[in-house]
Amino acid sequence: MNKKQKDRIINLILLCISFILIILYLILVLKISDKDNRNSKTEKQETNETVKTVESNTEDEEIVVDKDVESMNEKERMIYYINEFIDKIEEKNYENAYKLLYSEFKDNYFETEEKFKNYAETYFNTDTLVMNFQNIERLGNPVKGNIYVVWMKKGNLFDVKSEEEKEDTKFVILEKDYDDFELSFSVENR
Amino acid sequence: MFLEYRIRIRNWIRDNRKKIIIVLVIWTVIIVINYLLSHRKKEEVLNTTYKPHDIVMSNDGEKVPEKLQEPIEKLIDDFVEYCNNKDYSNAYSLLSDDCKENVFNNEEEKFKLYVDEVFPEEKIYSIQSYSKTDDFYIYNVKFLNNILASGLTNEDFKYYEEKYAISGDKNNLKLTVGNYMGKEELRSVSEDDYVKIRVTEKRMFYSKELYKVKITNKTDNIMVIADGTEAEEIVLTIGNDNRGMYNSGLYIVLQPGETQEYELYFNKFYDEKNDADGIGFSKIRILESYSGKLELKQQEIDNAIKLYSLKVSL
Repeated sequence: MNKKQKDRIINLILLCISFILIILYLILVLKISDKDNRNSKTEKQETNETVKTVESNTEDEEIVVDKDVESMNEKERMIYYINEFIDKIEEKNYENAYKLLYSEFKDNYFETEEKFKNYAETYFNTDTLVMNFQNIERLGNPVKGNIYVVWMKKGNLFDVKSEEEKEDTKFVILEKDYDDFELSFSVENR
Repeated sequence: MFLEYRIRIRNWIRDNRKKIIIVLVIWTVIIVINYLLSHRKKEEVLNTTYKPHDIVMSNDGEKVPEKLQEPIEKLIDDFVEYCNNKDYSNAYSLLSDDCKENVFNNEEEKFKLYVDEVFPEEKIYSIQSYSKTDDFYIYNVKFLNNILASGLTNEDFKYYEEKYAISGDKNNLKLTVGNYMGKEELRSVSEDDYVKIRVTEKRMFYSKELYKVKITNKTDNIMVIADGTEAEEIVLTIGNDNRGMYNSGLYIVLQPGETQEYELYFNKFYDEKNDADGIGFSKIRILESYSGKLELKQQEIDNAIKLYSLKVSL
């Protein structure tokens, strides 16, 4: 083998090694970025709140726990939003619960946060509140956003009333984006 | 020996400097593109089963073409917005000429009455593509009071619904409201020695059809075509199906030589597969006398000059 041929072989070997190194590096980078994506998704799941359900009164409905809002179906999301609203009242965080109310609804029934607080303390007394999901209807509107009407039976832990005797509370929810919503509800004694 | 290889590698790098730089640049570009793609924020689309442009009455999962979806949404939204704001002129301008002529008689005042009836207060709405014909995309539109503002306080969940038909192309879509679908001029005639029946016009609504009919009594006796005393006095025939009149209380009794015009309504959906093929007048009674009293009916029929039926083909 002469010098020229030897040089050529060495060049070829070096080129192949470089090529293999490039491929290996690319694979490593892709694997690392894929692992990063999976990790961030897991973190997101872990930081989300547990969804407390309202009990359903059909046996075949599942209780939703530990689920990402984005992976919930519409019914689960609406129940989640109602829970979020009730939770704020439970935490006495009336300011943030008030912010969730649709503006015109506030103008009609609760012009001030104080009025809302007084109402919530009476009618959403969360220490003994029990709410059972009844029905949901969707009003689809691709321009203005979908509106959902959710019927709940509202009662008391110590109630002796049957389901039929319990109060019907309706929630009307405008969903603008995931976990971005406004709501109103049927006000009692108006 | 190692020294020799080190020198060779150094010389190789020096001789192939340009190629190495090019490879490194390409490598860097690939890494950057990969990084950007993997960290790109995905557009969030709400998880929903609502598909407003999936045609409900389609057997094969047909949808409204994508290029028409947004223009249709905008057309309906603009129309409802104008109606809510009592901007009658702008709302009227969105209607098709056919709708203006045949539903509102080209009178904006008549349209105003329609708007005031459907929109007595601010309404919210929802849409769903319902069916498709050669001429129209038909949407089911539901109107409700602003339930977000009321929370359905002391209120039942109820709505008014109407079929809106959209026609035209992407840049010039027009709306037809009031469940009206179109009109057809007809020249169907059936005549014998006793009667001449002309069907001059058909108006189609989503769930019914109206036929304008001119009837001439050619006899010297009273002619009873419909007075509500017999079953299926006038029927619309669609193949083997006979459908009675929607306005079944219609009274068609003609004096000798008289001609009158009537509007006959029948239940028929616009998107039904089969068209009507005729109108049957199954209880034509030519009588010596007619009192309109039930107790004398049998006696009058026993003395009838002729009892027969006639069909007008469409």
